[in-house]
Amino acid sequence: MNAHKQSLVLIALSGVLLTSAWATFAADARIGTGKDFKFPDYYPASNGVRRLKTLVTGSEAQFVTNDNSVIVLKNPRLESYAPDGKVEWTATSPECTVNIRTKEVRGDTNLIFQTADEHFQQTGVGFLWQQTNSVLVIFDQSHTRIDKEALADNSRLKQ
Amino acid sequence: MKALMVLLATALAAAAAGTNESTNRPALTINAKYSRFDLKNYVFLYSNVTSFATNDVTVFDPPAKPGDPPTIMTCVWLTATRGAGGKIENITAHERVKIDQGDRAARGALAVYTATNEQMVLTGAFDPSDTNSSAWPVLFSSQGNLTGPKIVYDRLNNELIMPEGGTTFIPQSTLSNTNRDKTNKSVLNDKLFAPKPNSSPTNR
Repeated sequence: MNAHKQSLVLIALSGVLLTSAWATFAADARIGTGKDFKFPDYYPASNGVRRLKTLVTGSEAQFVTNDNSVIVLKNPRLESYAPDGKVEWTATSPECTVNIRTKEVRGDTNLIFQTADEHFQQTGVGFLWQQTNSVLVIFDQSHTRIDKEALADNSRLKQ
Repeated sequence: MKALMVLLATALAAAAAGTNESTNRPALTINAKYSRFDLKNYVFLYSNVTSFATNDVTVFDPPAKPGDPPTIMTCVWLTATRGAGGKIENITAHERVKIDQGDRAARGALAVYTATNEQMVLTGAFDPSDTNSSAWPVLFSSQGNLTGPKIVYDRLNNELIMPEGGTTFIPQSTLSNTNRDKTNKSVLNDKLFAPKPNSSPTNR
C-alpha cells in the first residue's frame, strides 16, 4: 500500500514538474523583448525584385501571446511605399500591437498620419491598420487637415 | 518706355496680390468621431459610427480672403476621394447638410464638392420626411429665404448663392404664427411665392 501511495505521489509530482517546465518555457517565449523591431511587407516580385510595400517599425518590441503572433511595439512607425520606392505616407503612435498573422496594427492611443507631401494630415485616438487591404480606421476624435494645394486645381494658383 | 514699365510692374503686383490671397488660405479641416481611410483606392469615410442620426461631421473652411466669414458645414456622414496625384477629387456630404457662412445659411440633403471648379453643390430637402417643407434646398439670408433646385458654395469667391434663382420660401412656422391660415387659406396652401426683385442673391 505504501509502495502504491509512493508511486501515486511520484506520478503526481512528475506531472507538476512537467507542467511547471512547460509553463516556464511558454513564459520564456512570451517574455522575449527586442529592440529596433521591423515588420516589412512586399509587393509581388517582379523580374526577381521584391519591392517594399509597407514597413512597421518600433523602438522596442515584446511578444505577448504564446504563439508569438502578437507583439507590443513602443514608438511604432508605419510607412507605405509606392512601387517606385517613394514614401506615400507615414503614421506614428506612442504604442500599438502588431498581429503578424492577420497583418493588423492596433492602438488605443493617439495616431498621427500624414502623406509624404504633407498636404493631408490626420490625427485620432484609437486606430486599426489593416495591411492586407490598406485600410486605416480611426475610432475616436478623428481630425483631418487638408491643405489648399490638395483641394484646388493648382493651375489657378500658379497663374 | 517708362510708362510701359510702370504698367507692367502694376500688373505684376496685382497678379501677385491675387495669388497671395489664394496661397495664404489656411487648410480645410474635417472633424468626426469615426473615420475610415481606404488608402489603396483613396476613398475616405467620416461619420459617427455609433449613430447615423446626428450631424457629427463638421467641415471648417477658412475664408479665401482675410476678414470674410468662414464656411462651416455639418452633415451626418461624409465621403471624399483622392486622386492619384494626391489631390482631393471630390467631397460629398450626406444627409441633413447645413452650410453656414456669416449671415447666410443653406440647408439641404446632399452636397457635392468638385475640385476642378472648387464648387460645392447642395441639392435636395434637408428633412425629406417633413412634408410641410420645401422639396429643394433652402437658402436663408437677411435678404430673404429662397428655395430652388440647387445652392452653390463657391470656394474661390467665398459665396453661398442660388445661381439659377429661386422662389421665396416662408417657413410653415412663420405662417402659423401670423394665423394667416385662418384668414387666407389659399395663401397658406401655396408657400412658395414669386421672388422679390431684390431678393435674388445674384443681384447682390
